[in-house]
This record gives sequence, C-alpha cells and structure tokens, in this order.
Amino acid sequence: MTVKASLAAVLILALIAGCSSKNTAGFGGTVLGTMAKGVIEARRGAQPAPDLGAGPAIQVKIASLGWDTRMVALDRDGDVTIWHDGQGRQIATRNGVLIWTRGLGFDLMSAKVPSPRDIRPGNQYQRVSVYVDGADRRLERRYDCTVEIPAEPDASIRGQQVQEVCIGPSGRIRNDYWLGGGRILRSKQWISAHFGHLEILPQ
Amino acid sequence: MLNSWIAAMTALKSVSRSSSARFRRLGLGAILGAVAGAAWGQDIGTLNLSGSTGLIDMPSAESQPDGMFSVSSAHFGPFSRNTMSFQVAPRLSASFRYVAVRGWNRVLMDSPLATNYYRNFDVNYRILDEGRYLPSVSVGLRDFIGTAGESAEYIVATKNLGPRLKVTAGLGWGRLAGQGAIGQPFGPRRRATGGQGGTIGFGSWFTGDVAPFGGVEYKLSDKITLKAEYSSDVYPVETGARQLFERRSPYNFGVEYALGDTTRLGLYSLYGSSIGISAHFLLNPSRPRVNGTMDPAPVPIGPRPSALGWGEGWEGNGANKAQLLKDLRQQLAADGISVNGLRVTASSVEVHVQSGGLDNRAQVIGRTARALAVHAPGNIESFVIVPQSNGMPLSRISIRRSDLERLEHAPANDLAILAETEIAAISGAQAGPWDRAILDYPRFTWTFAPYGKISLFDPRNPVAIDVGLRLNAKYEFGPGLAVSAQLSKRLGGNLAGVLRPSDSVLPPVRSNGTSYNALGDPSLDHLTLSWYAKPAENLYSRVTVGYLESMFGGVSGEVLWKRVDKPYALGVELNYVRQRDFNQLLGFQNYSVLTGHVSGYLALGNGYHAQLDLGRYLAGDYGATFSLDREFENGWRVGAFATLTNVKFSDFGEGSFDKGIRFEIPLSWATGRSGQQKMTTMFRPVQRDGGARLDVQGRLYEQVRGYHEQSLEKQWTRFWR
Repeated sequence: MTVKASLAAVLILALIAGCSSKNTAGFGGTVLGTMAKGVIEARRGAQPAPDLGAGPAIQVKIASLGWDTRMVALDRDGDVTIWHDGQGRQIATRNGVLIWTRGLGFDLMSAKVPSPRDIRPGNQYQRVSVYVDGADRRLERRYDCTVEIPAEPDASIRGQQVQEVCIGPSGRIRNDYWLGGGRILRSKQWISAHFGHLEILPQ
Repeated sequence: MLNSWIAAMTALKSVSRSSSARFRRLGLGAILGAVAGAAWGQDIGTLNLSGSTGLIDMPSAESQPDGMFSVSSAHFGPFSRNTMSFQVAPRLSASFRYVAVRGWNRVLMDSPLATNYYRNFDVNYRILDEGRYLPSVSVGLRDFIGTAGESAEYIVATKNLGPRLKVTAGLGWGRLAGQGAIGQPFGPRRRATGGQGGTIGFGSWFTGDVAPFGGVEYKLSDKITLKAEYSSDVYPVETGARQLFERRSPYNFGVEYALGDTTRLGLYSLYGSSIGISAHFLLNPSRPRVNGTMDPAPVPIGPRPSALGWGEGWEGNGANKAQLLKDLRQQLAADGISVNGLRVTASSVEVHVQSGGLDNRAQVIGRTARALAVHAPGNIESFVIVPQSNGMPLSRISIRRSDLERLEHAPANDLAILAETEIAAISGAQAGPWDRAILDYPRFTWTFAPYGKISLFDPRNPVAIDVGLRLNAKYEFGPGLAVSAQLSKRLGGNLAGVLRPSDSVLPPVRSNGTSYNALGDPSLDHLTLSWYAKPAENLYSRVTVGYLESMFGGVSGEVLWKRVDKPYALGVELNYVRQRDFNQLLGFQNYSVLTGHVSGYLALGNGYHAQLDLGRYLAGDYGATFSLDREFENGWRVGAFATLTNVKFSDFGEGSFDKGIRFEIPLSWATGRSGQQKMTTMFRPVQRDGGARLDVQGRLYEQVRGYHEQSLEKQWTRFWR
C-alpha cells in the first residue's frame, strides 16, 4: 500500500470517526506522524550507518528501495549468519543464500534453500519460501529451480556466474550467484514480490 | 416520516488489548498467490453512485474483492448519498447508506424538514460466476430494511467482452421498475411495511412491475473508465409532487478516474438534467501498509549462557532469580511486554507476561521465548509462558529450549515450532501465589490527550463533531484489581446542540443522549473499581463497581466459561445499575434496573464469529441480541447486530428494533508498526430505548480468547517475528 493509499485510508478514518485518546496525538495524528516518519525514512535511503564495529560485513542493496547499506554479522549459528544494520533490520544467510529477513516489512519469514554445492549448472531442486500476507495469514510459495550458465555473464564481477531459474505458481524468478572456491562470493537474490531482488556484495 | 430527533452516536474508544483472530486450521495448508489484491478491471467491479458495485445509478453483477470496505460519497441535483459497503464474503456484499434530499418541503410544505434523510440497507449476492461464455449474475435488494421509500429488487448479469469492455443488463422491481415495465410476473406490488419502518418487507420483494436496465463500461486506460447506462429509476417522489428534480432522459453517462488503488473519482451527466460527482475510498483489509510488520528485528537466540556460577539449587537463590527477572524485564521492555511473574525450578522457567504493545499474539509468545532462550541459565530446558490479561492467566504455553535453538533458522519453522508447542489450560491457583519481590505493583498509568467525537444522522445536525481533552488514569493495586477513571472536557464543536428530551414511551435509558451531551461537560465518563479473577481452569470472572459508563453506574458482574482448546464459550452477566445525572458527574437519577444476559459465543470458522445474548435490557425489556462479525488475522473486524425484545415495534419508535453495524481497524494496519490501538466505531441508524445494553468496559470474552488455541494458532506465522 503506497503512501498515497495510506493517506487516503487516514482520510477515511478521520472522516468517519474521531481520534482516540490513548496516545497524546490521537489515532489520526499518530497515523500521520508514523507515516511521515516512514516516508522520510524511505526517502533518505541509506542513512549514515551507526558504528557497527569491525568484523565480517557485507554490502546489501535493494534496488526497489534505493537502499545501499552495510550490514555486520550479529550472530553465527553453524552455517547461518545473521547480519544487521544497527537500525532494527536483519537478514540471515545460510552459506550465503538468503533464508529470512526481519524489519523490512513484507519480510521473508523462512525458506528452504539450496547449499552452494547444489548451485551448479545442470542441477535441479525445489525451493520453498514462507511469507505473511496482508491479512496476516501464512503464505507459502514453492518453486522448481534449475541452475544454468547465463547467456551473457557479467565479466566485470569476480567469480563464476550461474543463474538459478525458479518457476512457481506466481511466475518465474531468476537469482544470480557468483561462485568461487566453493563459496558464494556475490549474489542477487529474490526476497519477495514486494521488494524484488536483494544484492549481497562482499566488503 | 422520520421522527424529528434521531441521533446515532459514534463514539471512539481505544481498546487496550488486541482482540482479533480467525479460526482456521493451519493444517489446511498455504494460501496460493491469488490472495494478492486484484487490480482494477480484472473481474472486479467498480462502484456506482449508491456505493455498491455497479454502473452509475444501476447495479451490476460483479463484486468487490473479499473483505473490501468502501466509503462513498455521491452528489447530484438535490441528492447526497453517503454509503459504507463491505464485501462480507466473496459473493455477498452489504451496504449502509445515508441519503439526504435537499429542498424537501420547498413545494409540498407538509414537513418541517428542509432536508429529508433516509437510511438504506442493501444486500447483493452473486449467484453465478462469470465463465467463458456465461456472464456473472447477481441478485440484490435495495433499501430492504427501513421506511422502504427506495425499495427495489433486481437480478442483473455482467459480461466482460475482452479486457476493456463490460456489458451489464438486468431486471428491476420496485424503484428500479419506474420506466419501461414489461410486465408483473409475480403479481401487483405489495406495499412494504410502513409504520415505524426498520422492518424487512419480505412480502413485497419481486412483486409489481419489472423493467429492464443496463449499460456498458469501457476501460480507456489503467486510470480512466467510461460508463453509459439506461436507468429504469424515475425518482417518482422527487420528480413528482416535490418538484426537486427533473428527469429529462433515462440515459446516464460518466467518466471515472482511479487515484491509486484506493480512491476513485467520478463525473457524470445524469438524466439529462444534472451533473453528478462521486468519490470512493476503498480499504482492503488484506492490503495493509506492510505485510507483517516493520517492527525492529528480534534478538537472535545465540549460544546458551553457561550454567556456571549458578550451581546446584540456584533456583532457591533469591539474588539469581532477581537477576534473571531484571534481564527478562529489560529484554522484553523493548517489545512492550511486561513480566508480571516468574517461577523457576531446576529445569524450567515460567514467566507470566502481559503485552502492552504488540498486537500479534504469536509474536508476543515468540519474543518472550527468545528472551528466555537468551537469558535463562544454560541448564534450563523447559520454558512455560503464561500470557495474562488484567491479571488473569489465560493459557499455559510450553516450549522446549532445544526446539527453539534447533528451529530458529529452519524452513517452515512456524509450523515446526507449533508442532512442538503445547497450549494448555491454567487455573488462578496454579498461577500464584507470588513473591512480593517479583510483583511490581502497585502501578499507575495515565494518558492525557485530545479526543474527537462524531454524531451522525440527526437531521437537525447531520454531521456533528466535538473535540476536547481527555484524561485517563489507572491504578493497579495488584494482579486483577484496579481503579480506572476517565474524565473528558469539551473544548468546542457542534455536537451538543439543541436539547431534545426523549419522547419514548419506554424508560428513557438511551434516548436522552442529547441531554447527556449538552449537560455533561466536563464529564466523568467512568470511574470504576474492577476485580478480575480466574476461579478455575476454564472459568473467568469480573466484578466492576462504580460509574460504569456515561449514562449508568452500579455493579456489574460476569462469569465466563471457556476452554483453551475450544472455539466456543458461555457467559453470564448480571448488573444492577442506576441512571446517572445528565451532568455526568457523581449524581444519579431515580431510575434503577436489574439487567443481565446469558451469552453464547461461537467461532464459526473462516473468521466469522457469532454471539447470542439472551436476557433483560436496560429498559426492563426481555429479548435477545444476535451478532455476526467477520475478523481478519491482522485485526480488522466488521460486524452487524440486531436485538429483538418484547417491546412492541410501535412502542420502540422509529426503526422498530435495535440494530447496527460496527467495525474495528487496527492502527498497526495503517502504520505498519505493531500497536494495540484500534479505531472502533459503531453505527446505529436509530438510538432508542429498546434492546439497550449496559456499555461496561472490559468484558471478558474478547480479552480471554486471544491466547487460546484457535486464536493464537491463526497468528502463529509471526511467532519468529
């Protein structure tokens, strides 16, 4: 729902009811205030990052939001790493493959993903992604994926580029990985229909 | 004829707890991607001047997306129509409309009203879906409850010819058979009820003349739609004796513009004589600001803190417990969760929590579980989480720590952890007693904020708004025992207009609303002492004493029986109250009454909830109220209710019996951040004295069911959120 849509919603809510009293600004005021904050946050894009310290870090880009943020490892649990930006947003990768996000809204809740070993040209496997839909109901998407070598690989990026083509009930998704030394060096992965792709670059 | 003083109060209340959920077994499996809202023109109809799916003045056979809620405003000639519509189910929609007709007594000076107001209810049911060759077909009733001035019935079909063109054709009875009648298939028109109105005129449906109507709709672009129709409504009263409106032609034309996917504006040429405008606002409960929430990410579970230093018998050490309590409180404060109790054994930790911020209850449990996993000493294997409301323990949720650790990053971990979680009953006795050191009572909270109040449908004051300041305070002595007060001071507005004393033949238990408004400033909205308890595993109780609501004070007691694992409940409420003085301070009038109800509650599945109350109402009448609500997991709720009592329709007065619609919209839906605040609105076409119930705060069912199995499991996908 866009800001314009939210404004329309507030207009209706304001028209047909009044303000509540629990917050000092009242319901309408609170909504407008929060939305204004949201708009400002979205427009600002990459804010000057808080000092996250040294340690393993990645650069995360979400083109649809105009984001370009540095994220630092918050926790490591076996082959899973949780990355955070210090502002309440986290993503988690299993051996470099995205498995969940938090704090973005329209988050990926959990996922069954391939390992870097599986992402080899010619392999086929299934992916499963779990989301929450607008009505807070569980939404599960299953994809049948095939790994190919792309027709026009991007030679400027280090690593062997492979492309994962996944077909599901809602359409086709392409994820790109640049592999090297049995690991994923860089990737462009699908988060959700709302955001599109997320790029993970090494730091 | 409309009674001269009609007032329906819509009052805004904040509810301090989230309350919504729908019963749906998770085992039914995932919903496919088709849930995503449909864009305009893809088998979804557009709205007409009457705020329901249709062409311009005529209906069509299509529907809005399931759950769509719309507010429409249309104006042409002397007419203004303001409509709220709701797509109750994929095939069934309902509309409530408020029509104003200006210049009513200009020519025919038989009424004191310069503007006449109608309230209409419509329903529409789609009996056939559009197929490759077949059109969609719907049946509808317009203005079927009420004084029946605009009653009409119709059957209509709509076919999409390609992606841009829609053709609609239908047959109408009643008002929709004013011109071009082709016969009387079911006999002459039987008059619907006159009298007080408000009743359903079954006998008149589909009788009398039938006439065709129809039109086309062409989508010029993504944003612009053209419409043309032939209307069979001749507006007999307005074009006849009252001479308000000239109908030169049965053809209407219009162009509509879509502003985003929530707003539509329209401009029309109507009946060859008027220009019309319309604006529609659409809220789709399934399209919030964000799916899920933008709340900050939770704390990762991480490796267990070691058990070193805690030692054997650590649980007996007060200092250790105090440290654990402090750590948990600090961790959960960020989520607005307060820890009201803590109990430890050698291998388990039990916390009693109350959520002040998160409206998704599975997320409350999940965040609490994470906090336990992070802070409990390493030898603790078992976590028990007891969510509370007003000090009442609602359920007992058991999770193993090793399952949390194992499943934190697993695919489909929401279902996986649910399979390992036990939701059981808990009694008040099992919950306490507590160390004084743990309880952080007494607690005092207060808010001071502006408020707004709207009153609609009073013909002398159709849109009346008051604004003022409100002080809310709550002092909690201990779990379940609190004093609560609300004081309001009006700053300005036109709501407290003319004093109109009640003309009801019944005791004026609600019909003196204007007196309360005019004289109750400042007003002590409520001042109560409430006591909540959990006498047994499945039994909840409430006693509230004091000034219970703006018009009544006294004693209110309630007992609710509900099992954690069942979707139904049974309650009994008994109140002895006295009517308060109009100045809404500490005085009372002479009228007192014993009221009470036996209530049955049932979650029907798919988000529908039914409630039946039987008992005695404030005016001393006996009867029953039936309510049906539709809830979405994200907190949206729309419902309707009707009450029939032993009060004769003629004694009740206009409207014949008490009925209304209500809806709740959670703040978190609009902002994308969790919050328990909701906008709650109730519309009553007419507020009279029959079937009136005490408006006491904090009734049991809504606060109790949220952490029971059905409600909690439906939100479970956000456990790990």
